[in-house]
Amino acid sequence: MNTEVVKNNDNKSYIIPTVDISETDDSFILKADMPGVKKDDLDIVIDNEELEIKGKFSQAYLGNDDELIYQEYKAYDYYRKFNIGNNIDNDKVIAEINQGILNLTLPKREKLKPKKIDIKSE
Amino acid sequence: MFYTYDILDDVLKMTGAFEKYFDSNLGRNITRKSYPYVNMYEKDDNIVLNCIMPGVNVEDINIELIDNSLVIKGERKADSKDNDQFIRKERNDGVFHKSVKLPYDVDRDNVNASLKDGVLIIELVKSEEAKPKRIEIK
Repeated sequence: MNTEVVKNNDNKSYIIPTVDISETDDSFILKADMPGVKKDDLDIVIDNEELEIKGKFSQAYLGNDDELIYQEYKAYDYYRKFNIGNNIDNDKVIAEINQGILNLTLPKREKLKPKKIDIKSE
Repeated sequence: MFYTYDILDDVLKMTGAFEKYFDSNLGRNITRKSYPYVNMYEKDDNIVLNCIMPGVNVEDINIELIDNSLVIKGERKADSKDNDQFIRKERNDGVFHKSVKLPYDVDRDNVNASLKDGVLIIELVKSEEAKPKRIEIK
């Protein structure tokens, strides 16, 4: 897992979760690695053609800073934003998080689904 | 100008992106940390390790205590099918093997491990000899 960290305008550091995006005829499927995030701490927002993924690294998986004796990772919150244009049917988006992996199903708008054209023969 | 919006586009804040680029490329990163990443805490007589491993099943993890080292081995299996059409693929899968040296002797019969939300938590207790012993001053 790569831990890419970015500093946003609020000068806070965030981890950019790695994603896999796949496509079927009906939808896009986005899977993001967000270990340490519980269901209630996950925030998905679609606004103005942008998909925003936010997750809070749960305190349950963090100890106190003064008890830390060895550190390989920084448990920042997660943040990533995608430009999705007008391709998604926002009302039918499904989000689930399990084992630290976000599973996001983004159904395509009807016009994007492949439509087979019939050929009339004489 | 013709500009197509699609799910491939990623809106990263530019200030952060530049900072990150220069930070990671100036000077070699000598400490090659191996996966999975681990943080270790000392809470009085306990030692707690938090290991990041999203998407790893409990049955694919093997933890062993060898002398004073914790050896964590396992495999993250891919959660995709062969015929999945990927537009973007960033996540990795595969086997991992990591050894962490503990700073104290531990009670070998008192180890707890749990896996939740992609975080493996291993709790150990210092052995009797390792616990601080108060010296009386006569």
